Amino acid sequence: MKKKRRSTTRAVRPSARRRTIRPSRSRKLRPKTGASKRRKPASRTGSYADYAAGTSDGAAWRGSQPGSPEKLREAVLESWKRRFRDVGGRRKADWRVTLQRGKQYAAGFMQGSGVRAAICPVPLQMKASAVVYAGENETALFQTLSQLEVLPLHEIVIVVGQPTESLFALARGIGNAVVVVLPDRVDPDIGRALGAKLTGADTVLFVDGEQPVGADQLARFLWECDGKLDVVLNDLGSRMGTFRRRKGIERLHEFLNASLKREDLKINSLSVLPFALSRQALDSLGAGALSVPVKAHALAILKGLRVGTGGFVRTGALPDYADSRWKKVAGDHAEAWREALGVRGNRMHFADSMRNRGILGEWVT
Amino acid sequence: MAIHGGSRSSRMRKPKFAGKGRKRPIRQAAAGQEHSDDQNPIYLSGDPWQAPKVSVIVPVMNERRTLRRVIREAFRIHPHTEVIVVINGSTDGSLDIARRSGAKVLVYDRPLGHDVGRSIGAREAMGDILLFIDADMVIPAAKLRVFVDAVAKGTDVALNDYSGPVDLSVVHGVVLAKHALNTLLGRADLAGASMTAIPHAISRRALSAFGCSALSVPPLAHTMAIRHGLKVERVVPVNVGKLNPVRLKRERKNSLEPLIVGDHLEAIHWWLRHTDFRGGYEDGFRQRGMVR
Repeated sequence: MKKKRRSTTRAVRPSARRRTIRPSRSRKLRPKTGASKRRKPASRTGSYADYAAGTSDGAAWRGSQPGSPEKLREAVLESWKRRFRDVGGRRKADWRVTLQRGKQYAAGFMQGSGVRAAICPVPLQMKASAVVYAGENETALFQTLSQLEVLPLHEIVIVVGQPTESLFALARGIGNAVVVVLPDRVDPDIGRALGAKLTGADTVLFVDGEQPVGADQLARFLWECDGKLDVVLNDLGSRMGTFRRRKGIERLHEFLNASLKREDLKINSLSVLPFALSRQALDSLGAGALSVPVKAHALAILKGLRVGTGGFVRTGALPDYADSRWKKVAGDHAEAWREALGVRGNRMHFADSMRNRGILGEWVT
Repeated sequence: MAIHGGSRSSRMRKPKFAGKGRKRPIRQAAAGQEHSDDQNPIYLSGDPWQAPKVSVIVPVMNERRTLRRVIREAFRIHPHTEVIVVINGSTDGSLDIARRSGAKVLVYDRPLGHDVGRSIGAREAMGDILLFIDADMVIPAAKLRVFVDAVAKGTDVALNDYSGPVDLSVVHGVVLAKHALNTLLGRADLAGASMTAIPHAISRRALSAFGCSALSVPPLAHTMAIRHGLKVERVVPVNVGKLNPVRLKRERKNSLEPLIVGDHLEAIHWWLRHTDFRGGYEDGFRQRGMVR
């Protein structure tokens, strides 16, 4: 199984080392992502060069055709992708730098063309789409969709159960939306699994229709999934606080990861939105697996898919013991471990080679 | 293997280093049990024909340094106490110390492996209450007695209320495993308390519910006790993490972490085979048939 090690250069930074209490565990402790705050911003000249290039490209584009905001988005993305590939688009480009450069370029392009639109230019190589299960909250859905519109998405699959007229109209109002109307409300996991089945994109982003997230944050999930990772998780682990204060559900997430020998994933889980999956992940797990996300999480690791994180996104409160959703959480973990124990044996490769069990005679089963 | 009954001729000698280290006054049991502070353990174990009330099980592997004091404290728990010392793979003279102490001694030439001594000791135990302790950690009798008392009052598994260091962002793998297992079993109230940690006491009823063998894989016995609906409670905290520098050294060289994490997984495995595919938790309203 492959473990992702993007942080090798960071691991030797003296400032980071000083911060850790126990150096022997420092590599485990260090968040995989999320440390980007301490990083230097893109150099001024670099982003200015992108801005300048954007201005001239924008002016040229304006000269060739009448510009509408939709057309502008397409044009910016296309020409930025080209420029990114040609100029300084290192394979291991840092996300913050990449985003910053893209924004500078887009700003320049708009300046040059005189057409404006909200845009989040991510230089993706592959076709991406998003899946949203719409809740009842129209305002939240509207905000969610307006953030998604800004992203370079091929299509947005919106799954709704028993929508009201206005909710339906709202969903249909998005240019590249595919609206799936179900006769009844379904469990959100089921809704998303259905949505996943309906898109053929190479990267699929799953977002919460009730919990709007900024386009920039979502863009990172697309970026990490674009030829790099198969499963991109919300990095709750980068801000998890002390163990004592964590909830039961986070302990289950964490122990599931640890028992799958992926301690580096900390408390992160596919049961937390948003997340992104590659075509490889969707095909090998099957859309049906997403009905029980925690089990899909375990399966992804068991199948050796590349599982990593795409930055921290604040989510709604996770369910706790008293919550009505608790039984679902606990049962899902039971299913996940059942799966993992089935694949890796009843100690999941944590062998017991020391005990003389033979001496005990009859053993409980 | 040889069994040495508490021979009457050997007297417990006053420990050589009794004056060293912390001295703790041993308080009388609050429950008003009859109790003697006599130094002589043979006196304490009472009439050999009377079945002991409490069996204290002490697995030993080269723990000469503390063994004498550990046995002494064990005998002080209750007037009718038997102490069962399971010596395995010891070459440091622990055996002699145990033989002179008045304890029942079971001897194995080779190491039995982690916690197997608990099963072996439990098999020989005759008491109504079984207390499990380690030979490398001297815990005063007064503290140990609290666990025994809890079982006497109806608890089936009386656990050390110690969860390990939890004010960290990343805790030790064993600490995580204990918390997660309790959570999964619907006993989050137990926090990180577990049969993996000593001291803990169990009732005869608990022992017959999960059997002696399961004690070798403590999280398994723990899980079985909870699954069988036994009364599993945390009692008082005994900070076993602080008590032992030797273990820290061992931990660095040859960590038990993978073994104990595996034990927890073995426990989950058992639990899943004795519940339904969701561990007994309902599925809510998921229409799984809709997506295949």
